[in-house]
Amino acid sequence: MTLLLFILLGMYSCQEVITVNLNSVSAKVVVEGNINNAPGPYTIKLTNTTNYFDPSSVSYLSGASVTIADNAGHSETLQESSPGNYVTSTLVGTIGRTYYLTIVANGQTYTASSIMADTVRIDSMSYALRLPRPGSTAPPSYSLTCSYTDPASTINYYGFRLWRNGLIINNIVDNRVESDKLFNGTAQQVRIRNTELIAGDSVRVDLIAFDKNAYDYYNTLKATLNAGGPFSAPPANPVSNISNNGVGYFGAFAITHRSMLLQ
Amino acid sequence: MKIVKALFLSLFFFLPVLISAQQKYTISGTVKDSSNGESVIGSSIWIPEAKTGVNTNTYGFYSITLPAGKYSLVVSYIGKQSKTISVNLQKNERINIDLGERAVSLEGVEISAQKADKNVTSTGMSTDHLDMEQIKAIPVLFGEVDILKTITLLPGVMSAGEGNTGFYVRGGGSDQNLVLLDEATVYNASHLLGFFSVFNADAIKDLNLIKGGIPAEYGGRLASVLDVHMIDGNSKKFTVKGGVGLIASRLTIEGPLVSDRGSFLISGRRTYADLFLKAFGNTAQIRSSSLYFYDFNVKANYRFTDKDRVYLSGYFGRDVFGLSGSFGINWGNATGTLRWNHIFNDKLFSNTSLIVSDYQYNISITSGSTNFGITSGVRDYTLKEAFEYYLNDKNKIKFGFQSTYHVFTPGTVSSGGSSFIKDLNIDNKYAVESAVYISNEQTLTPKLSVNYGLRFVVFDQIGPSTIFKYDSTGAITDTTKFSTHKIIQQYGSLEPRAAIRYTLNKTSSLKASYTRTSQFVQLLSNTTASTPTDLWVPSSTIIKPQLCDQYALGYFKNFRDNMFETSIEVYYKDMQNQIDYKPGADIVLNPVVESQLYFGKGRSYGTEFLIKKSEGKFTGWVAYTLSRTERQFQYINNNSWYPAKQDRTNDISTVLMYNLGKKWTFGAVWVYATGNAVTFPVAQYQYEGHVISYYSDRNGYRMPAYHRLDLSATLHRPKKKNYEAEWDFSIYNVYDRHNAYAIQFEQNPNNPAQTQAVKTWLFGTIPSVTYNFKF
Repeated sequence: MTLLLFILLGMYSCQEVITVNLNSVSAKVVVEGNINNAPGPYTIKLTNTTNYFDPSSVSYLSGASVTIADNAGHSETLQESSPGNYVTSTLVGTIGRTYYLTIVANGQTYTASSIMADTVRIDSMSYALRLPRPGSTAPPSYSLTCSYTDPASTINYYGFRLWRNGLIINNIVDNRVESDKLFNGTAQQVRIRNTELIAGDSVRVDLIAFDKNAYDYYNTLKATLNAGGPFSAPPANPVSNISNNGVGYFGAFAITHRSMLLQ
Repeated sequence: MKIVKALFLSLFFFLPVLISAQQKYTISGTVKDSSNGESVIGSSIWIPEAKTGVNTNTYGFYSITLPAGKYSLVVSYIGKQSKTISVNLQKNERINIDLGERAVSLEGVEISAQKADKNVTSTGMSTDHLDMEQIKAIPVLFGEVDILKTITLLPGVMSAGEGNTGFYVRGGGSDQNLVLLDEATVYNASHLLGFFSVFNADAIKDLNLIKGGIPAEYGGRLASVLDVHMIDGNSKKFTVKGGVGLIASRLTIEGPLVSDRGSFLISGRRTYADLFLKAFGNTAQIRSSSLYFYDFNVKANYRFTDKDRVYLSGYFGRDVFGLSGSFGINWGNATGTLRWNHIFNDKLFSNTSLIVSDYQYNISITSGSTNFGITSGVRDYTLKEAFEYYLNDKNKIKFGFQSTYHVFTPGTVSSGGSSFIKDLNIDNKYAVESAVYISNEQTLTPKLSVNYGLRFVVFDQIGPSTIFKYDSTGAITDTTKFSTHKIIQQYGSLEPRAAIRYTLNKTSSLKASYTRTSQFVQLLSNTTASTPTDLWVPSSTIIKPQLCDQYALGYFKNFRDNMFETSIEVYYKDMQNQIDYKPGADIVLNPVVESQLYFGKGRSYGTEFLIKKSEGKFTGWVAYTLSRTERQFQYINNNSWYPAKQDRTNDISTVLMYNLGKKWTFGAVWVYATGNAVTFPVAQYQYEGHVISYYSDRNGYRMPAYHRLDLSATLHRPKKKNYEAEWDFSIYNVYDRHNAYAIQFEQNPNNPAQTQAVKTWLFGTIPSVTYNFKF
């Protein structure tokens, strides 16, 4: 929809880079990390926000105390493996458990919790090579199609991730996030495209089942990424689950995946 | 209800029933344009001997009661030759009056279409009247005359954005204007995402915009009433008129029905913007896209007897937007009005209306084997009964009732047999909105006039429906099912209206008004620009009716024998139960859409200055508005007052027109407005490899100021036999100001480590030419 509205605008509109004076604010703590049903270790990354027009070198938050606990009585304090990266050593992510994150940094405490949903299996995966239109200079692209069946008895939320040769190249925010509002209980297909993929690549797709908070977070994060246009909502921060005006998201993810070799 | 009854009764007590020894008689009739038989709305009938007068109503009817004696009736309407008719009043008289074109009609385009000093003498304030002659003389974008863009040049009225037909009145939102086309509510008055309005200039006679002191016969929206009247149709002869422009063409046919007993009008319009797509689109997909709108206006009226006249008017318009077989959306309004004027006697005029109004959009999406459609909309059925009772020369009473049945279709999804999508049917919502009103326009002394009234509205949301209750996180805590016609939620609203005018001297007056308005349907629109998928919803258990109290005070003064009109008005508005959206609110196809809303309050205050020159070769006006519009929501900006998106501190509109002989007319418009209040990022961070903006206060920043100059020239071809033609040339944005339409913050594509602000602007200098003809 939005794309089409922009086609109309595109006929007449023009763009130019301008100078805007923005205020600066005190740095906020940004949490990025999850615990999932795959074996650990799990990493929580802590950073600080920086002034908007500062060149984006990431400001890592060192020396924080980071603890993850679950509702089955397990608890672990994470070790800082590199500046801002805190990792677990003993914790095992388990379906159905609630996970609690506690961070103490610069005298402030931030907390978050998330419930690990049931996994949903990828039934099948296939790929197709998409050749560009004649005359176009665009490279050929691979399109992956995954099929899965939405469980009818529960309300489900999904995200997807694409790996290429062991590295994530499309993260959750780059792909669709789905709620089963429109398709509860039916077989679904999701198509993931990436122009970087070439023959010989080993690809993997993660199907991530998560809770409504994560769905809301990623939806609002996508909106924040696209904010400012005339056909988008007024800009706002994503709906974070971090307390005390923290930024980012701590999630418990139930992941299933499939891999294949592109030829 | 007891209070209401008491108030209504006391209103009647106020009405002085004058018992006089002298016998009184009534003069009544209609005023028409002698060239085409159109009834003349708002023409003035002034009786110098009695120092009193009356204006014709929406149907050209007037009535005035005077003691027996000899009088002269001075009938005037600007642009028409005034007429004086002598009457020796010894019995009730019916006098129908035909007004002809003024002999020297090209003296100038007059701005006030009414009695020259009406702005000073009437009790109406905060009201603007424009007829099409004035509107057509003003330069326009793409050569398309547009009444909604013209009204944004009036004081207190602001444009919702570049090229946008949405408008804000005294701090109200664009959904808080009651837009009426021949009495039918127009829910979405825009075409092509707001660049054009639904009003085809060739089918429109005139319009009234009421910003404050809203009379009791109007209700249902908070901020203003825009009352647009269609042309009745020429009852003297068949005429054809039309225009060919760069972006659209128009054709109108009108003529008499059954020799002078009636007339009809058929008008159509079609844009061809999609031809540009086909010609200049840079991809095959764009070239095969469609993008256009069309609309039709039809109207017919028939006079059965001297006392009964029936009008049928209709509007149908559609926008079509499609992308080569994969995506299509069409949307539009349809309205129909059947009206019956009945003159009970010389003093009592009535109008009965049956009105249907419909807005809907349809989306179809085809993707591989998947295709599905979404339909959403709103439909109203209204019965309206309005009486005007011309009690005597001091009192004119209006009373009546209105009842509307609303059907809201929030959205249905039809899968078209696809296995991947399930049909989804969000429950329709139903409501009945009923109102009774009474008002009196009373001359207390020659210096003091008042117009007071009361409107009482009852709004019922009725079944069938499923009603949810939510907790603070938006999760459903309770579900109740209501059966058909069962009342789910009832609201009542008592709306006092009052206006007073005190004449200081022959050329100046002071006016004051108080208006309470309420609004029971609201538009949910979570985007900066208007989109066809914006959703109308009724007040409900969760959404409380919006309320507004407006206080206004004005000083009106005319100079040089009414050649210059000036006014200063101040207003203060207090608004309750305003709506805003939770971050990331999902309003499309959401069965629990009410859980996505925040509720708060608003206030707005300002001063409006107007200087207007209505006669001579040079005509035009300068309007300046200094104002503030703020909102307060518990969960936005920590419950502190913040500027609303319609807040513009300074707003200036300058309109100049110059008549050079019989051949040329020139026009110029210059507008300036403080930039919109917007939210900009204050910090950034990285998440999943993306640079994400961090925001603090809502609407804490301003867009750059908006200003623009437009020029136009019209060349009138000499009339040959019956064929008249003119060329309209216009230049939009003469000095090529790059007014910001949007400012986006993003990573520099060439240097991802750096962030930048990018301004999008829509229209540079755009010349256009239109050819208009009439025969």
